[in-house]
Amino acid sequence: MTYESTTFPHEVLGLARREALQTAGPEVEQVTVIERQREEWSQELERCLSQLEFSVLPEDPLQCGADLGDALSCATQAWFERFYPQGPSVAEKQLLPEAWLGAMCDTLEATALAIDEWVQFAFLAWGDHWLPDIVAQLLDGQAEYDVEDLYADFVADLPRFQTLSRISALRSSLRHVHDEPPQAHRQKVSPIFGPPRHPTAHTKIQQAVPRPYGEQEEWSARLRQCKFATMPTIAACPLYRTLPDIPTFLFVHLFSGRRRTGDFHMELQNFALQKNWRVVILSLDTAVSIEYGNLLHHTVSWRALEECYLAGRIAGTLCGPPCETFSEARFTPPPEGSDHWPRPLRSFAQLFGLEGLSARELRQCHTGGNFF
Amino acid sequence: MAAHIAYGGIFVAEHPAPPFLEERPSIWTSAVVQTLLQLPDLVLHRVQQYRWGATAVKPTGLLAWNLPFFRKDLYSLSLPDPVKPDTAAIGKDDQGNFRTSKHKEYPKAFCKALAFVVAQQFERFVRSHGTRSCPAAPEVLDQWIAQAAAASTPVRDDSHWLPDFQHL
Repeated sequence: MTYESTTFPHEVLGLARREALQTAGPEVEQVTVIERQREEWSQELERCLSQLEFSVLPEDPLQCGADLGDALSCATQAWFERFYPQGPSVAEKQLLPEAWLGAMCDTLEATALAIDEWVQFAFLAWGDHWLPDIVAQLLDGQAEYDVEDLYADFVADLPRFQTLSRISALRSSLRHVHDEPPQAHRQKVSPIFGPPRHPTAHTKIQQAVPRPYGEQEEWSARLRQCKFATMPTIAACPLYRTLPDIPTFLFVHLFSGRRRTGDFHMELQNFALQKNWRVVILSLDTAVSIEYGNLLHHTVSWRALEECYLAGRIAGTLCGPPCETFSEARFTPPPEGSDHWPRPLRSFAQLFGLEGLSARELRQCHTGGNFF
Repeated sequence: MAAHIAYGGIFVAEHPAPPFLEERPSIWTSAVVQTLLQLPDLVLHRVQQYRWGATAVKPTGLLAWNLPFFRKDLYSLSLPDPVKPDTAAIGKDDQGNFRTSKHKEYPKAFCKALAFVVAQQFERFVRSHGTRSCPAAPEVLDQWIAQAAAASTPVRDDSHWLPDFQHL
């Protein structure tokens, strides 16, 4: 190839590279090594297949083939009867391929035509279809092995057989070799650690998120180990007020339930009337008063009550908090067909609430726990 | 109860008795109560309310602080010949009401016995001069106590109570 100098066309002279429009060039279809190899194999396969075609055939191929087959069979049978059952020597074994070759030569001489390719074809056909029956009739294992071994060695030297072997190899290669589409780059898979993972997949949480609700068992266990270092002394009972000669106690009945005839409130007052002291009783329950009986933490009642307790004004307390979330009845199996039945919300180990409770159940536990 | 331990007075807490199965929840077997039970003047009593007229056995736990004669006083007012019921307060009755509902309130004899326990102990405090006077309460607090006492005075035998069961 010769090169010569030239100048840019007038239209593009002075244009900078970035000012030029990029144009789509011709598509270049790159030929891979495997594709090139397939092409070579395909061409070779075509050549081999063309070699199998017969240029010259005998006048009567069927009869000629039958005669050749009979001659080969007779030669094989004669060789077997001559050397078995005693078995042939190495030199004697070679007499069989020579007999086969003699039969093929006789056929060639008889036709006076260049039918070498067809004779090879006829011999291979005899070996594929007739020889197995002949070998099967020998009734001598060693003879069967020897005949097949000699046949294999003999046909390996035939050009037609070599061409057939090459065709088989080429077809197999073309069938199994494909161009794989290019894959994205990936890290090699370690036989020990497996495929690569996200960097955070190998990280471990070294410090668990503290969750007091989930650690209540440990908390309870630690609390059970606690011992009182000193025992408190009994303090004197506080009097709410002291009227002249009549002491008065302040008594609180929490979760008292409704006021009724013969309840604790009434009975305590009756007892007090028989004594030389009086008692102011606060029966606190929502069934008695919504305003004063609401004992939740944030209510005015509870704050006032707390102030009384912390000032040491209350002489006595009777407390019967609701037991609904602690109730033994929650462990009773529901009747058939019942879809609303209270289930256990607590256990000995998880007294403040089991795991997996609904929001409503958690609220129930929270309320019951606060009362407790 | 902590206030009573620190500042004096008596305390009684009532709740269902500890269950026979250890894995069942109970405030009595909780770590807090078990730790507090190391105190010599805090005693957990287990009684059965049928001895005071309950129509079910109703085993009950009573945690008592500073009540050394609690059991003696309580049983002194128990029924003379109680018959132990053979029905458990679980499930619903023929009318579809929860059997636990009517046991929500103490039997009257039980109320009287508890009141007797308290009264006897107050009497002992007065007799043994085991009382102390408190400084005057702020006026606001005094008013609240008076109003709360007044609110809890009326007797309403015809009112109803809410059952423990809540629809989930």
